[in-house]
Amino acid sequence: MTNVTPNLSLVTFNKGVDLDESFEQFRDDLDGVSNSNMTKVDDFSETVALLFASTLAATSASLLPVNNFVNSATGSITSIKSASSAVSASFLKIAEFSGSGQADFINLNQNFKHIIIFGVSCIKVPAGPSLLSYNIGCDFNGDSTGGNYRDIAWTNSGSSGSSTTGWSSGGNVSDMSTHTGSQIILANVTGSSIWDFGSPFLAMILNYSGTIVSGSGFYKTAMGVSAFVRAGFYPSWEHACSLGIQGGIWTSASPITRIRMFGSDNSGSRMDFSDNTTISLYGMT
Amino acid sequence: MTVQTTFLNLITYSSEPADQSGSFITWTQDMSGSVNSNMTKIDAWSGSVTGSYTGLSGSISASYIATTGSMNNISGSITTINANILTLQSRFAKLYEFVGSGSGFVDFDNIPQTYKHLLILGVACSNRSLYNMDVGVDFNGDANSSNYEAIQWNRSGTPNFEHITTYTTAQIIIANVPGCMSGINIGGPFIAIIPNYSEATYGFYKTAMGMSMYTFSIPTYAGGLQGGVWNGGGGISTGNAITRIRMFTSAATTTRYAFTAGTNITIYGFG
Repeated sequence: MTNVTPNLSLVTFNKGVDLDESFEQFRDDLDGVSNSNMTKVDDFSETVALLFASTLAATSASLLPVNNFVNSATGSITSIKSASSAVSASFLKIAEFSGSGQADFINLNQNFKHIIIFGVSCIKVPAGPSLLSYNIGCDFNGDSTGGNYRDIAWTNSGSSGSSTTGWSSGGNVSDMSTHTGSQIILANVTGSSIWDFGSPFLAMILNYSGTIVSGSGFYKTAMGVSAFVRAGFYPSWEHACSLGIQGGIWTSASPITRIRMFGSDNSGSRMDFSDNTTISLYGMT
Repeated sequence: MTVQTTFLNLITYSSEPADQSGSFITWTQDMSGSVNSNMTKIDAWSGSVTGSYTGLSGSISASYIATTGSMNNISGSITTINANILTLQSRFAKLYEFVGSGSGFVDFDNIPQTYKHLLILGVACSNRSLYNMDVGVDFNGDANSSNYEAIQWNRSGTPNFEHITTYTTAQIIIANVPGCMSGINIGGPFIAIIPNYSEATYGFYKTAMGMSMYTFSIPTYAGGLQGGVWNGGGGISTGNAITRIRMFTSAATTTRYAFTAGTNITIYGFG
């Protein structure tokens, strides 16, 4: 008696059981022209070939939109990269000083056109009688040569009174002062031994990175505006206030790669900022 | 002697004498016996192929589904990033730059209206041979003096005085800068703003203001605060968006002078 296999239903003979089958029947079952094992195997081979062909076609068809998507996504990412680079290049905080001492911004990023400076600071001075109003000065590229800078400071300030005369006698003074020296004054700020009052200022160094060609190019300039009140919380008479515009020129057209900032009383000496001073430099394309 | 095939281990017989020893019954058993014959091996292989194909097909389908999911996620991320970039671009952008190369005027026309405020940063020099000059602006091509009111509080060294003065000279003054008398190496820095420039339906008259401070040789210097208002021109009271800015130097009169080479003026939009 013959059996059939489970998958292809091939006819099999079992020796000792199927001996009653004739040779012709055996041969016909094995490789007869129709419904024999060989034709079933052949049919199966065709089925496998069709399945794989179908799968290959489906996979290829699936890969086409995937490929299109990858190309599209790559293009989008390239555009996004370009756009984000443009955004990043348009405005960036390029340096910051926090704490005490003097600021020294070196190796300045040259990919921007202008520098805007936001700051709040106090100049560190010894305890005891002293000025309550000082300047913030700057120099460029490490050049502290006297005579290479010219600056002006137009301020309206009130000075401290005394323990006996009080605040009002300190008066208000409008002043336009000019200097030829080793710095450009950017701001008028408080000075204190206890650095409880900081003074806000806004400053800018325009076209710092380039050498605009016209003859030898414009000399580099800087300017700033500031306003502060040192309230008389303690001692009550020790008021100070000042508002002003400051600016100047450095007699060089070289790109500015280094900016030093410090306290100044216009005597030529450079003073430290007190704790809590914060000065941020932003580049604008 | 029989030989087995490489992959399915099918039993083969050759015509060599060694293979003639097997009986016909053995041969039939090898060909299609019920236990380990060629037919059962082929059948088992077919089952294996079918199972493998089913597994492969399922794996491909699963991969496709996963890929589709990833693509959707990527598309969503790209859409979000694009939107974020557009948002960032709408917050701040450089809109215009004037680089002087010889005598020239700023004429920024067709100003994008997608920002709210304009910031102007510049280093400039006038081509007029006078120590102290002003930077003036007019809007939308309107050069009618009666449409502008400007004010300037400044301090200069040559001549040496401080003053505050108003002007109706077809411009808003936004800065003091040096004239070419100072030499071509000198430019004056200034910062100015034109707030709410793009508002077209309501609001105040359009305004501008600026601040400047320059020196080139002590005691020649000037600086101060400047600003003013434009009534929109043609009797329009409010809501006239600024689409064009002309910038020039002047001596606070209606005569306009160009910028020299070396002047650099940049205009930024803030959203």
